[in-house]
Amino acid sequence: MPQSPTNPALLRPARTRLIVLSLLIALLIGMLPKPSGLLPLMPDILALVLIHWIIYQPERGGMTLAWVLGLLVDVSHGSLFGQHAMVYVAIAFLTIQLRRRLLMFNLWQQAFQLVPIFLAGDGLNILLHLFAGNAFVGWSYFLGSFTSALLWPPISNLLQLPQRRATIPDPE
Amino acid sequence: MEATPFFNRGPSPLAKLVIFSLLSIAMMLTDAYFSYLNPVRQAISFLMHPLEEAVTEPFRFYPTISHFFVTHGEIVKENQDLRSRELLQAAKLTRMAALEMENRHLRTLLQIRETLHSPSIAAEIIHTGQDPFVQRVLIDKGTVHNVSDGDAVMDNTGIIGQVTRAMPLDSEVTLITDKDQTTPVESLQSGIRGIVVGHGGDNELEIPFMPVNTAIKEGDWFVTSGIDGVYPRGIPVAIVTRVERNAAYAFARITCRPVAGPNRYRQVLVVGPDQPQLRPSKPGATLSHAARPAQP
Repeated sequence: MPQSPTNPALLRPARTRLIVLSLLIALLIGMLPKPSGLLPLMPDILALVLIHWIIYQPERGGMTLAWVLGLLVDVSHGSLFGQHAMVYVAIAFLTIQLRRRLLMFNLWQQAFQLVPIFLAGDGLNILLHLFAGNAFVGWSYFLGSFTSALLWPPISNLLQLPQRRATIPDPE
Repeated sequence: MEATPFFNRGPSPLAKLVIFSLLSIAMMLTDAYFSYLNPVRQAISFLMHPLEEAVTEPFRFYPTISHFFVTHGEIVKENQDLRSRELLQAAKLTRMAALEMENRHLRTLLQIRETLHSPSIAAEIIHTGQDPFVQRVLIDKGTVHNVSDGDAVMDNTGIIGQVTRAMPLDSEVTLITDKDQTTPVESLQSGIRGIVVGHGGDNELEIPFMPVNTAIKEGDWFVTSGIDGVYPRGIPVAIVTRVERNAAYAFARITCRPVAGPNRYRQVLVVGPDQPQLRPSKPGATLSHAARPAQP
């Protein structure tokens, strides 16, 4: 596992195009038809990409972005309008709080620290569902937090690639 | 150059959290109890429709492509046409069976108005359940195709749910297994009327408020009663799997399983209300009609 430069100072600022494109792709992945048996295990790619940009581009990825993305997810999932928005805002808030600490660790350690954030998001989602009068789906719902966290290193690595390649000094 | 991160710009994260949370809660309450936000949702859904299509299209056409390598394209097209025709006919056939039962029960003697053929629209399920909490599917026909809120949705075996949110190009269908989703039904065997209520999650339904000495048995078929004026009559809904009679409780516990299932077929049929004139548009009219025979 290559050590990634986790200090954002070593990374070039990401292009806005890349941020928008990555979020869009993540949103589309969320819309893909999924096998209903594995539904609780499905990772939340959009949340991962969002967290990545909040950590590495805090000026651009923020809570407003999280809220708007949440609304889009609400429409595509057909859930209550504002439900995922609130969950994403909470995730974004927790990420901002942990941002400086997260940057001191490598990607796998970061993934470990992100688990509570995802669990909190899932917990909030379940609470909102229960308030809305839906049935409890069982504890397996929380498994998605762990698959999401497992996917953090590859996805974060992938999103850092375009910026990192540019920082490699020319061999002269 | 970007502003230095030493200075706070805009409200603090905590303030934002509070503001956005309150906003979200307000929107959720509005969405749950009123319908003010439906135009916003419809607009976003309309804008996102092409994306959704783009994502699901490969999955939808994969069977077609795999067919193409075996048979001629025209045959595939013909096959599809036949399949959709078969669906329409299967829907009619299931109603036929129910109508035969109806004859056997001599319901026509009760001078019930003959059921009209309700308008039906063939649709396809775009995706099933993004959210494990809600038993919902998205179909590819919307208000543009004359789908409206409250329409019944069936496959060729029976009712799968009801259109709960008709958007311009697609609609959300709440399945009969969703929690608290109710479907008015009657038994084919005993003619007992009741309401089928979903459990949410597991593939089970329940018929509440039946007396302990009810004539409902295991294996009884329940079809839509059509009394509500929303669902057409005689479409299969559920089969009784278990009847628990406990004298300690006022009601028997009747568990059913749905006849149809959204995880079986892609093609569904959206069926409009059967007899619009039966809808309680003028409540006074039906009341006076009912009261008349009581007077000597």
